[in-house]
Formats: sequence, structure tokens, C-alpha cells
Amino acid sequence: MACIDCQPVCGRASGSAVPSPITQAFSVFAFLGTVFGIFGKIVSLAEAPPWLQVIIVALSFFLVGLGIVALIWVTAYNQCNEEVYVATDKGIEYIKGQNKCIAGAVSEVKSDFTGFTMSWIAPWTAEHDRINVVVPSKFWDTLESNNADVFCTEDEDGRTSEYIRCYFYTDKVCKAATGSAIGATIGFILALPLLVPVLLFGVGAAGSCYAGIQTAGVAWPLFIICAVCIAFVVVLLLIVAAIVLAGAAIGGFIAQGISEATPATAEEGRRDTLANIQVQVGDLITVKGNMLIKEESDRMFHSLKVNVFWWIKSAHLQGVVPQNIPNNPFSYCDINDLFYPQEVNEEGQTVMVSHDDCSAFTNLLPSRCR
Amino acid sequence: MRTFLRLLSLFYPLSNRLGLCGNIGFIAGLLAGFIISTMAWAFRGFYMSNNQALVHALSLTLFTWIAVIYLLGILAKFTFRSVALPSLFNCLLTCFLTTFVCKWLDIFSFAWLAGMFIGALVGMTLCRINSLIEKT
Repeated sequence: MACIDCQPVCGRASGSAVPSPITQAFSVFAFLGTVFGIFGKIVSLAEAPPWLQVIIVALSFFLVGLGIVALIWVTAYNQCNEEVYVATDKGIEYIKGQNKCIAGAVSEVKSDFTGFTMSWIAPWTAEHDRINVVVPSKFWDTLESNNADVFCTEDEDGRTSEYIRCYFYTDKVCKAATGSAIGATIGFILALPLLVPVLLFGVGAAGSCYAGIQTAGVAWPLFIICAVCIAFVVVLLLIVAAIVLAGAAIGGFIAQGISEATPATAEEGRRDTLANIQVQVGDLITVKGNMLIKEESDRMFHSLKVNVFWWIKSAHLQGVVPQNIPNNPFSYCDINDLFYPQEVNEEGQTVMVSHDDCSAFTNLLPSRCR
Repeated sequence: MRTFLRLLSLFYPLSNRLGLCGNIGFIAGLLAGFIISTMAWAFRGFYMSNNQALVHALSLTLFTWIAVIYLLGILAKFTFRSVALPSLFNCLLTCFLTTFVCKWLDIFSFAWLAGMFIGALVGMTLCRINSLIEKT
């Protein structure tokens, strides 16, 4: 067992990363909320004509629908682009990542559209095909580069290993996200007539609640009207959200169908895919592609800024981990042995040989431990 | 789209500081505060009695809870069972505090802003308490 005298780094990162979906949702709502908030206050101060006030207030009520549409468009953009924006301490940067190469053992294979939710309810949240690769210690430098955090396996001390998520570009995911964005926009337009009942009940709620100032005590008739009107406004807002989301689901579903019926795009054609590599858990693999930092979650309320392959350009299978090696989880100690065995050369000396397709360099210690 | 993404990324550092719980509280507070604010913009002298504020807070809790469950379930891929109770508690506290703070300070037209702050604060505090409990 070629375990090394060095521990993997699994602590928190301080660098910048491609934002997680929740961060994106936060940003969309914060942006729209701030814009509408300031706008609404100005209009209410500026003595705008009543009809204009009514329209603006009604539109403000649609913040939820508009927020969902914007969120789906942003998600679709991020799903289909290799170049991304990140926020750093110095400002906003536009990054594309770096070409990198790693090797290791595949510990998990996750296909796109797994589960009912991604396929039917929210096709725009589907993830590209993904494999997790437990790497030999030689690649810890790569996984820790750019001050990134690292996913680690849960193993006994000394065998804990670093692993990386590698995504295959999947055209179907990209098309479903775009279809969902178009569907959500159409849904939002269809939901616009609901402005009328929203306003009517909004007026009722505000009118009866306002009347509360006149009656210092309990005014039950007004109280009940107020409660019913507010409840209706809330229900109508939920209906708006439901119509927009239904539009997104239908659009995404149609786009999935279209994607399956059409040949692969040029983007997909120039990359390896999960389907043509036929990779399985336990395979030894070398992966080359674009690596960047993304914010990813591995468990409840725990997200890390980790390096990921977004996306794999080429992948090369190099055998299978023997069955006598513990696989739950894999450890870099065993993978070091498989990729960099000791062999006797022609001069009779024992030397370490590299079997990965990245480089012949075989120092197993990461630079921070040398 | 790129311009829109640039504008959005202005909020990323704030989102990073707040963490997941703060983000969820922030969104709940914003949605709750916004409904109150829009009424205040449209109707001058908008006011709520204590009972009406109670109804407001309860309806808003239901609405924001559904929105938050959707965000956590669909976007962050958490199971309903794992997030239902914590997020309900988060939304309940956020909506009640937002409604009653706005009522006491009479700042209904800025409820959206108050909601953001209160939501983020409630979310972060709940997460901090949760992590302290986990440690002990």
C-alpha cells in the first residue's frame, strides 16, 4: 500500500467560485426585489396618477413569477456555457477554467435526468452526466489548486482520499434547460390576466386592513374581510408561480423529446460522452478537459467551492480496480499502487512507473508535503 | 443575459457571507416584506391592527414556506422531510418579525428591505444555533 506521509486538505476554501443554484436564486430575488422596491417607493412618493400606481403595484405583485422566469434563464445559461462569471474580492471576473488532466478510480456514476423531479417537474435542474474520480496523491495539487476546497472520502485516518467531480457535456440537459426557460416565459405571459383578481383582492385587503386604524378595538367583519383578501392574494401568487413552473416543465419536456430525436450537436460531437465511454464504478480512468471552481453541495447545508471538470473533453479507460481492493470507499493508497507500481528496469533497478495518460512524472507527494 | 449576470454577480459576495440558511431566510423575508410593501405603496395610511397583523404573518408564512420548500427541494435537491420543519420555523419567525417590526416602527413601505435584513438574520442565527447543538 503506497500511502504517503501527508494528509488530504478537506478544509474550507476562501477563493471565488461559480455560484450554486441557491446563490443564483438569492441573487435573482435580491436584484429584482431591490429594483422593484426602490421603484415602488419612488412611484408612491411621486404622486403618480392612480392608474399608473395600480399597474406598478400589480406588476410588483408578480415579482415571484418574474423571479422564477429570471432564475430559469440564468440556470439555463449556466448549464450551457463553459465560460462563467465569478465574483472575486477584486470585482467580477469572466473565467473559462484551465485545461487539466487527472487519473483515478471511478467511485460514482450519475446520469442526467435521474429521478422523477428532474425528468418531469423541473427539467431545467437536471445535471450533466457526472463521474466522481478518487485520485492518486500525485493529483492532489491539481484538486487543491486555485485555493479550492476538496471533496474527501469518509475513510479511516491515513486512507482518507481526495476525489473530484467530472461532468460530461450532455446536449439533452442544455436543450431541456433552454426549453424550460422559453416555457416559463410563455407561462408568465399567460398568467398576466391574473393581475385583475390580484388587484381586486389586494384592494380589499388594503382597504379593510386600513380600516383597522379607525377602529381601535376588534372589528370582526373587517378582520374577516382582510383575512380572506390576503389569503386570496397569497393563493393567486401561488397560482402564478404554478403556471410559470408548469410552462417550464412542459417546455423542458418538449425540448428533451426534440433532443432525443435529433443527432448530436457539434458541441457534443467534439467531446466524449458517458454513453460512448461506457464507464462504470471501479474503472480506472484518465480524464482531460476544462477545470474550474464551482460551488457544489455534498450533503445537507454543506456546500464547498471545489474544482470540477466542466466539461470532460476526452476520457480514457485504463482497466478495472481488482476485486480484492476495498471499494467502499476507494483509497488513494491502493490507487497509487495501481497507477504507479514498482517495476524492475533493464538495469535491474526498482523504479516507479507511471500508467496514467497525463505525464511520466511520478512524485506521489503533493508539493505542500515535500 | 451577460449584462444581467454581471448585475446578479454583485450579490454573490453577500450571498457567500450569509451562507445557505441566511440566503433562504433572506428570500423568505423579501417575499413576505414585498407583499406588505406593495399594499403600503398603493394605499396611503395603510395600517394593521394586531389581529390583522397576525393573519398577515400567518398567510405570509404559508406562502414563503411553499416557496422555500420548492427552492430547497428543486434547486438544492434536499428531501422534503429533511427541510420541512427547519424551513417552516425559519419562515414563521421571519414573517412574524417582519410584519410586527414594520407595524411597530410604521415602516410598511420599506417592509421589503426590513424583510431582507430580518430574514437573513433569522436564517443565520438558526443555523448558528443548529451547529452549536450538533457540536455538543
